[in-house]
Amino acid sequence: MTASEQSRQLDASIRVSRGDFELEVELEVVGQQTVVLLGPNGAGKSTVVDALAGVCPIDAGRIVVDDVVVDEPATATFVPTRLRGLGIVFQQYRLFGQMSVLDNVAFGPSAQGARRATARRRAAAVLELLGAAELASRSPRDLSGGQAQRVAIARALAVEPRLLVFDEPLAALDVEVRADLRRALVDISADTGALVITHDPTEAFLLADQIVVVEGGRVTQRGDSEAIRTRPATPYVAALTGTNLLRGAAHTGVITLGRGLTLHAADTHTVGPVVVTIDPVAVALHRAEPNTSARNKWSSAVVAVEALGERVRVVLGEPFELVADVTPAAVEALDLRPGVTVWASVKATELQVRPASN
Amino acid sequence: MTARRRTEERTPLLLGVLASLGIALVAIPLVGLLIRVPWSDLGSLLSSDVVLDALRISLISSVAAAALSTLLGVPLAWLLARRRFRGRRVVRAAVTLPMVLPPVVGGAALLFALGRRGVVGEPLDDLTGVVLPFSLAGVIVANTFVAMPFLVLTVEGALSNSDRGVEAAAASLGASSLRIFWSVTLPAIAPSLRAGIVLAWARALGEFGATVTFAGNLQGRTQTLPLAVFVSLENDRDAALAMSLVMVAVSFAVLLGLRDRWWNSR
Repeated sequence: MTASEQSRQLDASIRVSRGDFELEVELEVVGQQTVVLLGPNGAGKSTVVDALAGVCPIDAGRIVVDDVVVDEPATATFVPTRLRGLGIVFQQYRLFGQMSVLDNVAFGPSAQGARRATARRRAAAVLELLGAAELASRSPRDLSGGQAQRVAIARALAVEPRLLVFDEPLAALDVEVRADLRRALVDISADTGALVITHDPTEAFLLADQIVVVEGGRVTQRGDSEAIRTRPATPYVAALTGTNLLRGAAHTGVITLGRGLTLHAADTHTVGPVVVTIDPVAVALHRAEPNTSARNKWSSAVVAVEALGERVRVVLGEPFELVADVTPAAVEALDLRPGVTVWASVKATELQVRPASN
Repeated sequence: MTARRRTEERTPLLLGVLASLGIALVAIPLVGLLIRVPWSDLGSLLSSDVVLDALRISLISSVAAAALSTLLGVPLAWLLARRRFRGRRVVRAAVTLPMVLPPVVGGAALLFALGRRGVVGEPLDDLTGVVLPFSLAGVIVANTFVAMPFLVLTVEGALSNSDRGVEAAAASLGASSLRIFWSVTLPAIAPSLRAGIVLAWARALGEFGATVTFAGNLQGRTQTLPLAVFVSLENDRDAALAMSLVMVAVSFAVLLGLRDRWWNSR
C-alpha cells in the first residue's frame, strides 16, 4: 500500500490553554503507523490524551479521527468520548475490577450494541489473538502487570478502534506483546494506527515509525528514530537519546550488522534478529589502534562533536553510526573534530542484546 | 504456650474508669432488659395478634422504606457526588436534615405537606384518591424520610472516593452514561451501597416519632414494633419486653453484619 492510499487515522491540531500553560501540538497518524509522543513530565502529554479522549475540549484547532471531525471549536463540533472510535489503553490500565477478564473485554462490544453472547465470543477471540485466552475467567485484581496490559489492549481492540492510544504504558511493551499486538491488528482491521504517549525514550525508539517530541507544550522535534537519535534538536532530546541502538542478527555471541560487520557480545544465548543498545559512555575513543582487552574495536570517522553539559557527544559515521560520550579533556587530547579518524572500542559486556520483534 | 508479654502501655486509671462507666451506661439497660425477659412465655407472647401485626407492619414498612431510599437515594447521591450545580450545598444540607431533626418535627412537617389538607396532600387526594396519613403508605413515607439520608451520605461518600478513571475507560469503549453508572460505578461501590441500604433499613425499623406523628398508631395498619412496644409498656410489660428483645437482636445482628464493611473501614 502506498502512502496516498492509506487513510489518516488521526489528524490533530490541538490547542489548549490552562492558566499559564499553553499547549500547541500537531499530530498525524497514517495507516498502521505507530507514532510516539515523547516528552518529559509536564510537557503536556496527558493533556493531549485528554483532548483526544474528549475529556478536555480543545480551545482551538481540530481533531479528526479516521476522517471524522470529533472536536473543532470553530464549527462547534464536539463528539463525546464514546463515539470517537478510539481504543485507549490507559495508564494503570483501568480494568473493571468487578468483572472477569472476559467481561472486561466484552464490555465494549456489548456497550456498542452487540448481544451478550456475541460480545463474549468476540472478547474470547481477541483474548486468544493476544495470547491471553487462559486469563478469561480471572479477576483483573489477580493479574500481573504484563497480563493486565494484554487484557487492557484486548479490551481496547475489541471495539475495533480506528486509532489505538497507549497512555504511558506502565509495563514496557515487550517484544512478545508487540508481536501479538501486530498480529491482532492485522487480524482485526488493516488500518488501525497507534499513538503511544510516553516519557521513556527506549520505548519510543523501539516502537516508533515517527517520534514527536513535545516539551513545554510545544513540539520541539519530529522524525523517525534515526533522525531523532543522531540529530537531537534540543538538550532534552540529546540527553534522552543517550543510547546507541543497532539492529543485527545474533549467533553465539557474534552479532552481524550487515555488510560483513560484526560485533562481539557477552550474551551468547540470544539468537536471531536482535536489537543492540550501547551506552555512549561505554564507547572509548583512541587516536591509534588501541592495545585493549575490549573485543570490539574499529576505526571510524568523526561526524560531529557536540558539547552536552559536562560531557561531549561525539558522533561517529562509517562503518556505522554510533555516538560516544567523552570528557572535554579527551576531546582536546585526541583532537576530536569532524573529519578526523579515530579508533573506537567497546567491551563485549557493554552490549545489551534483546530479541527484535521481527 | 509462652507467657503473654505486656506490649502496650498501661491504661491510665482515669480513662479506664470513665470508659468503663461508658460501657456500663450502654450495657446495664440491655442486661436489665434481658434479665426481665419472660423467656418461658416468649413463644406465646411473640405470637399474639398485636405483636404479629406490629412485626408485619414493621417488616413491610422498613423493607419498603429501604427500597424506596435506594431507588431515590442512589441517584441523589450520584447527583451530589458527580455534578456541580447551583445550590448543591443547600440540597445536601436539606437531604441530611432528617438525620438531625427531631423525628416528631419531621412527622409534623410531613403532615403539613402531605396530610389531607396539606399543600401536596390535598391535590393528591383530589386527583388520585391517595391519602397518606394514617395509612401503611404513610408509614413507609415517614420511614423513608428519616432513613434515606443514611443511604445518601454513605453512597455519596463512596462515589466521591471511587476511581473516575475507570468510568472514563468505560466511556472510551462506547458506553452511555447510564450504562457506565449501572455496570461500572454501582458494582465498584457495592460494599458501601450494601452498608447504606442496611443502615437505612435499620433506621426505618427503629423509627418512632415521625411515624406516630404522620401515620398514627393503628394496630394492624400503622402500628410498627417500636409503637407497639411503647403502647405495651402501659398495659402488657411482658409483651413489651419480648418485642424489645426482638429489636435488640435485630439491631445487634445488623451491627455485627456491618462490622467489616462499614465502621472498620472508616
